[in-house]
Amino acid sequence: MSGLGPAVVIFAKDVRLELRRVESLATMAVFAGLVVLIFAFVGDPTPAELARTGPGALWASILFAGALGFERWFAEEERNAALDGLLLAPVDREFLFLGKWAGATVFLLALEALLVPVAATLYRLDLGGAWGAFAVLLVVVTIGYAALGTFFAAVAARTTASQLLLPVLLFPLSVPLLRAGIEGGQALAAGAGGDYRDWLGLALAFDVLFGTVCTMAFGTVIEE
Amino acid sequence: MRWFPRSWRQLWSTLDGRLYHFLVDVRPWIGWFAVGTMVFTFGLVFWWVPLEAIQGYPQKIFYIHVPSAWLAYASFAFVFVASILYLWQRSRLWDIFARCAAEIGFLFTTLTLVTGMLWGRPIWGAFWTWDARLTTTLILWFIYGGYLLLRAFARPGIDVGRIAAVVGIIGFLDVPIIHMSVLWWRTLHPAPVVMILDDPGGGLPASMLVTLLVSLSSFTLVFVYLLIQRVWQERTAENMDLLETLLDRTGRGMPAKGEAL
Repeated sequence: MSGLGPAVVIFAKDVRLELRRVESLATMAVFAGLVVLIFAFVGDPTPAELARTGPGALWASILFAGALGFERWFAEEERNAALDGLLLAPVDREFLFLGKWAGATVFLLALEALLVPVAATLYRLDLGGAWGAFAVLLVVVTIGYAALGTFFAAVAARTTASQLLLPVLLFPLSVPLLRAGIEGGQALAAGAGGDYRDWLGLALAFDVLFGTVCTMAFGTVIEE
Repeated sequence: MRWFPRSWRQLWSTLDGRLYHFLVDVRPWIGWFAVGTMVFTFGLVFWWVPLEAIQGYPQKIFYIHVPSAWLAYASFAFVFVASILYLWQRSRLWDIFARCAAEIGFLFTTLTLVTGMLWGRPIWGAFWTWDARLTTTLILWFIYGGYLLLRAFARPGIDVGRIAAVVGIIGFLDVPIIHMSVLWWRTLHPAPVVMILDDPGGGLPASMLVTLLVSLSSFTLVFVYLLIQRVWQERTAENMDLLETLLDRTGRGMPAKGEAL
């Protein structure tokens, strides 16, 4: 196998498909925006209360929209038995996972690029000059969430209730990432650089561990 | 005939076969022994062990809560090991063990949560607090609930054991990270009084420690009995399915009672 070739091909195919039908990403963005809206009704819309619920609203919308996306991006492969075609290709299963994982990461990041400014404006979140550090945290958390999400979409696809089961399996296991996202962001807002680095480290460790395990275990899940 | 096994695989297959039949044979004995020790445990808890000075009667739930929690964690470790063994050797028995251990672990986690809430109401003044250990245990309950749902919703015709094994392994690996991520939150739960490294058992008076250990033994016996019973049931059900398929294939259907195969 020459390098990451097959993974890049699958990634490019997913990006091309998604660009041809932008409406699916747009629908996800609208859905995520609605989650942000619903969270505004949780407390009184005073500035202090908004700043408290804001990070939770942002991450919950990413979590929920992500679960919808993972299911959809994997279901694409099930249509017209495209997955069988991929499995027949003389390619290691690990590359299939790497390609799908990279695609899911990029789509989620595109969604977040829209969502973060909206949530920050609506909830008056102010990180001052720490937006760069927040972007790093966002990318690290998204990579880990996309790994788990892509993997469990494949797991849920082997059941008769994939749309129902994916969030049930995915959300409990994603708790460390959710906590790292919320707490890391709040540490940045409070100017606590040490706490931020702890949470970033936790998310990185999560990415390395579950990125490896999911890549290795993907073949076991996907084969007939 | 060689007395020693030719390979690891052969050693394992004779070992798990013999172990299984031995366990099925001693199952009724374990069951009755579990009933006896459980009665004895309740005798100790309600009549022998002294009343705790500050908490009074609610403290007695400790002798049920702590063994349940330990066994819940032990069963998920069991699911983890059985899942690895199943992926390694592809022996149906390990798949059945993993499934049954997850069911019983889910039961004991529920018991832990319920007894903890009953204790928390009089002592903390609330059924629930978002303490690190409570949160981890609740997430654990969701993870293995999802694991059991995955098995229940599996598409017919696929080897769900293989997929569930992977989920069982990933779920178990995630638990320490989840615990760490919620531990950095806040903690109200009483600190461990038994498993303390520099002073084992030192946090408890001797009579309470004895009661706890007796209770732990009787809960373990119940756990072992339930596990063997469930594995035996599942294995028998699978054998019945196999028999039915074979008879269908020969076109004879299930034999009537007394009729020869």
